[in-house]
Amino acid sequence: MFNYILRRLIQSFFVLLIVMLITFTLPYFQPHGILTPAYGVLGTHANARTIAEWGAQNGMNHPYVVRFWNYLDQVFIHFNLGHSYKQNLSVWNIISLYVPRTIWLALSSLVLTAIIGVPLGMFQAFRRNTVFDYGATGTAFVLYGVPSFLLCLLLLQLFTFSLHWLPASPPTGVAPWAIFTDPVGFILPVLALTLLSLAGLSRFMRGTVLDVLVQDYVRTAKAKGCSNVRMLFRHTFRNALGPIITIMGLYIPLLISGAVIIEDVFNYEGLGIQTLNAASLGDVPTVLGITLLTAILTLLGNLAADVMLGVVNPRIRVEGK
Amino acid sequence: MTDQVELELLSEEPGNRDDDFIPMWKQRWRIFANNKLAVISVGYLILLTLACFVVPLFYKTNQTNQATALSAAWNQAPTWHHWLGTDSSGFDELGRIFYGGKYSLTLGIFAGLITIFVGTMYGMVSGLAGGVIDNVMMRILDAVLSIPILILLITLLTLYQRSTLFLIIVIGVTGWFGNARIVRGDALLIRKLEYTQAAESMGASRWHVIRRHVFPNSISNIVTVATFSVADAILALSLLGFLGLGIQTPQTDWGTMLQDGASVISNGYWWEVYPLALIFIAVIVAINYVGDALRDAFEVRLLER
Amino acid sequence: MRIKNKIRLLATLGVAAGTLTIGLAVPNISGAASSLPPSTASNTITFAEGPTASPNYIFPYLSCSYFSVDNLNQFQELMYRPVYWFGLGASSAYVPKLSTADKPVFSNGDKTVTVNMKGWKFADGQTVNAQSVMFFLNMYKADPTNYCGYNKGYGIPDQVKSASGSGNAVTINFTTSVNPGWILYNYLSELTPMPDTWDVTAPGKTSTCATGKYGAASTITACKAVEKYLDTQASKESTYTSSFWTSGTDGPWKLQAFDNLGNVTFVPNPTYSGPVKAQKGIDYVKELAFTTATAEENDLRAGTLDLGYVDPTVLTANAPAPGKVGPNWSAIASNYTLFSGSGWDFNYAPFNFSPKDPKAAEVSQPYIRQALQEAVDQLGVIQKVDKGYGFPIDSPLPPNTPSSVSGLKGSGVPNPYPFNLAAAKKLLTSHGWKLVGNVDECESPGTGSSDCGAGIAKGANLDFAIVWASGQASLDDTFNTEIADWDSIGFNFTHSEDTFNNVIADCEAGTKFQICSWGGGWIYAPDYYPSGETLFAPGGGFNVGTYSNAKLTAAIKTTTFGTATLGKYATLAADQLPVLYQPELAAISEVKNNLKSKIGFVPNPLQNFMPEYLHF
Repeated sequence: MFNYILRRLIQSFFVLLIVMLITFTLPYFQPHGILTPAYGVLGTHANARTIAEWGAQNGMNHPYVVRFWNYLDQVFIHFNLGHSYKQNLSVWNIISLYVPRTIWLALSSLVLTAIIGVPLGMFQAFRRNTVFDYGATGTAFVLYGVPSFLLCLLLLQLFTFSLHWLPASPPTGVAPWAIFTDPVGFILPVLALTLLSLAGLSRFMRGTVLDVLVQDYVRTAKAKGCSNVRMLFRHTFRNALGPIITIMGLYIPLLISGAVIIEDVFNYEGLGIQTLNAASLGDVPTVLGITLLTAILTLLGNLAADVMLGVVNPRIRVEGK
Repeated sequence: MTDQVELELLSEEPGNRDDDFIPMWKQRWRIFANNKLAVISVGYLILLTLACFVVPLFYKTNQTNQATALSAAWNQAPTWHHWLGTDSSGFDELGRIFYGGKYSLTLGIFAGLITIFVGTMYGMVSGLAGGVIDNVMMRILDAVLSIPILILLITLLTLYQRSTLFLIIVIGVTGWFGNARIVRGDALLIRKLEYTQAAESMGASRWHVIRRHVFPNSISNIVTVATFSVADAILALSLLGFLGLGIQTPQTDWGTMLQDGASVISNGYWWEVYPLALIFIAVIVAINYVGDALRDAFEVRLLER
Repeated sequence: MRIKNKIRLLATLGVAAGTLTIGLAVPNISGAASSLPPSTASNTITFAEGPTASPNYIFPYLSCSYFSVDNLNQFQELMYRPVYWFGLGASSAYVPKLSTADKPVFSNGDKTVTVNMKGWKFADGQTVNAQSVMFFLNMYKADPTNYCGYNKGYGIPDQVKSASGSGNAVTINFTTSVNPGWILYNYLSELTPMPDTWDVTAPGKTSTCATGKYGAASTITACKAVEKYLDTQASKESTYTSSFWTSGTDGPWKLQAFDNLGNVTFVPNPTYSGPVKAQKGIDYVKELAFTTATAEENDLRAGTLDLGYVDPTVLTANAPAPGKVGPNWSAIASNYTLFSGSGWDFNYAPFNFSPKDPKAAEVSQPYIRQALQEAVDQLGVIQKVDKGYGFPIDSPLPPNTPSSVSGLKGSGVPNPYPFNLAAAKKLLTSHGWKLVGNVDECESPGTGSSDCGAGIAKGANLDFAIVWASGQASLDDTFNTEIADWDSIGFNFTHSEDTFNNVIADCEAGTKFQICSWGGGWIYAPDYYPSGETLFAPGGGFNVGTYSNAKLTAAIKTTTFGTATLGKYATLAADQLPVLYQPELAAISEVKNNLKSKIGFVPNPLQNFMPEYLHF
């Protein structure tokens, strides 16, 4: 097991290098090259002189290979992610400022999603093709079909502007853990994020459990007279856990992307909105930093998922031998 | 019912095929046709697609000329002249719905097809090849999967001039990663399953293994993934519309229209959001019902319960 | 025992995630844990910052990366007053009583200017005198390119022969005679006095940037080191509320709290020496950061803001006329009052005159530009797209330019090219263009009065391309209207929408597009004087279309080095069409009904935020 994890960690490092290579190289393909962001930063103050100065200040004058090497050196030797082009903050500052906010928001909704979605999906699979199943599936599809921004706006319209029950946005300028100390403002964003991810999870759960239900051993268990509840937990749930864990491992970058709309509509200063702004403004250091962070989290998540997969279902522990 | 299952199970056993039986696709069609919701969904999707392409030929309203629209009433409630009123740029809402649907549906289907095709190929090759190839392909996939999709989408979209084709390609090439993983996982799992190993040891060729065992077994997953892919592509386009990166004006797509409508919904202009929202959500729901029914049609062993 | 393993793993993961989160959260504690009053308290004025436009730089000597309304007019200038103050209420003009110096005195045939400081006090007790101004001037001389107001070859510091300060008087000698208005509006307005406590290269290590001789090598070395240190300090936003930065406060407000998100809290500065101090009962001014305009509108509906804004698209009824306001947005009408005004800017889209462009010959023909301009339905666009909240633009002067600046009587520059599709079409046909298919082709090449013009070959067509910044519905509607009209008179436009970055770069590159627009036009700040040397003179800092016209250049010269007012230059620029004039959006603000102001609520053209005039 230890060797397996070590090998995976080394692999992950190479994956990380690929990620950095991709994100570092893409800006070179901008229509006006890597100096394009300078035009955005300087706006109507942009001219040949200011652009050149900006380029020099930001180390743009070196060739590609040197710049990439410098970046690797900066990140891995000096643990420095650089300075944002657009905001007067270091990238690490931006990350440490916004990541906790998004993580608390996302974790809260993730927990809620799992608590509701997993039993719902399993129950649907067992009560397949009943009115309940159709109803739940229909609801899931509708939730899945609503564009996220529209759902957010509808929730706002209902709970804030029609009923006046909930505030339109979380309080501004608060600590990242305000979600626990001042939760009222967070109800709508968490609710929206939960509803949006619930559809996918419950549907996936239903499919997975159905898959397991048709496996021979479950049929055998049923034929042998296993009770439903026993079967549910002893056989079905454990075998369905694998795919669910894989999905959760994939969930991390989705969290960051998925929270964008929520943060946008509810004016919550989190990483999602930073990601969006950085990408559309061409704030390359910030994009690189956020991508690096997401990549690390995702890779760790994948590793954890695979390890847990091996624990849950020994038949798949093939790579570990 | 039981008979059918028996037939199916028999026909899946290699070497036991009998030409007297009803062909497999026919049985699957029957199972599919039994699902009323799915049939309704297919009908809805076909009708809507036809409408988007045909109705604009007969229902002639101003759909793109902004200068002409200046003289129209903007944000006008439904009248006999404009059945669904006018939108926040002065265009006839009903006409725009069909006009935008043309783009949303076409884009969704083509981008969805790209994601299915690329994802399935990548996953199959990787899962079946195994060894070093699998390892390298999976590490590359790991890399692209761990980049937030919005960063990829937005960055790619700023690289070239936006056109319908470019949007299809960008949504396509950023959408297949998950598919590849699921398909590869299937291939890997099936490859490791005892009966495949048995078949291999009995001397069956590799291609035979793929055709007779791997493909039929993962087809249900691919079909599910495929339906979701088309729906996802349509949703991805709508998200781009929300971010102002959709089809270029004065052309439009449903996402852009929903965003435009949603920004004025607080003024009570319901006709700019709700009719389209209903149509849009129904499209996604219908695609998913179809996928569900297809999945059931392939998963014949489920019939016994 | 597998279940146990699983639990252990889950626990480990949970702990790891928790640790990571807390680890990441720690640096933020200090910034976030300030105990500030709620936004709706009656002693607090709450102001909405623009979407993703939050202050992020405190040092008044700033480069173009930070040169913005949110850093200057809504942040720095509340604390650090410039030598000359511009803009009060609805006016953009020079305000002597709010300036830290008396009116500038020009002498020696407008070659010398003397600035007499009023002797206000910094927060640490130091007098704001000549040395405080020389500090800025010396730094400007040492490293001009790092200040955004720098205009190579013009004004301060490039045309300064010598400068010296003693007591309260600063004397600046120029190499040539200058237009006093131009120097006051564009250069003296940018100077900000700085305290001696900032003349350091490390904590406690004083330097000689403030005291050194102007232009001396030793001063230049000293100033560069000081500037570097101050810039480094300014890049750490955690230092903003330290006594280092607050010691330089000579304005009516003192920074109390600042977080990295861009939320700002000011308290009144008790030692402010100016005439208008913070009103009684106002203890705090809060500026709130917003990610989107929608989010800000949500807060308006919740009633938590005192001063905010809305996008005209949410308004249900039109303004009755440009400059007037119509009914407010119904969702907030019971709590807020709508005000509208014009900005100190003009909206335009540059033509591409670059010889690299294949359509340069067509663009260079004045009659083709005139046809394009005559097909722009500015009033129609304002009425429909902007809901009446807009101003037609037909010269480079901002709407409502005071006659003291323009020298023009009445309604300003007359519009030479009002909207007229028939006339525009006739202009093309009378110059030898004929519709072939859906686009005009040149039938009679040549330079005669009924020919296409120099450099246009037979069969050349009017296939034009335009690019504009994506993401603004009103901009899309505006240009789609114009394109439809242009296409109806014989042009054939292809268009693309791109990011702001790419559009600015496209404009500068001078290829592929005949017209480009980033959607904002030109804002006359920090160079408040609406003269044209930057925009229309060859080699100008933002002459993106590379326009060049000897007559206009000569007219510009008379406004910078001569004594002419701007009327003649502006009339010529309106006639020559160096750029395509575009309708301009009005500034809109929403004011809570219980808030009162001593100067009115019409949005300030320079977007100054002056809460010292506000009270409940």
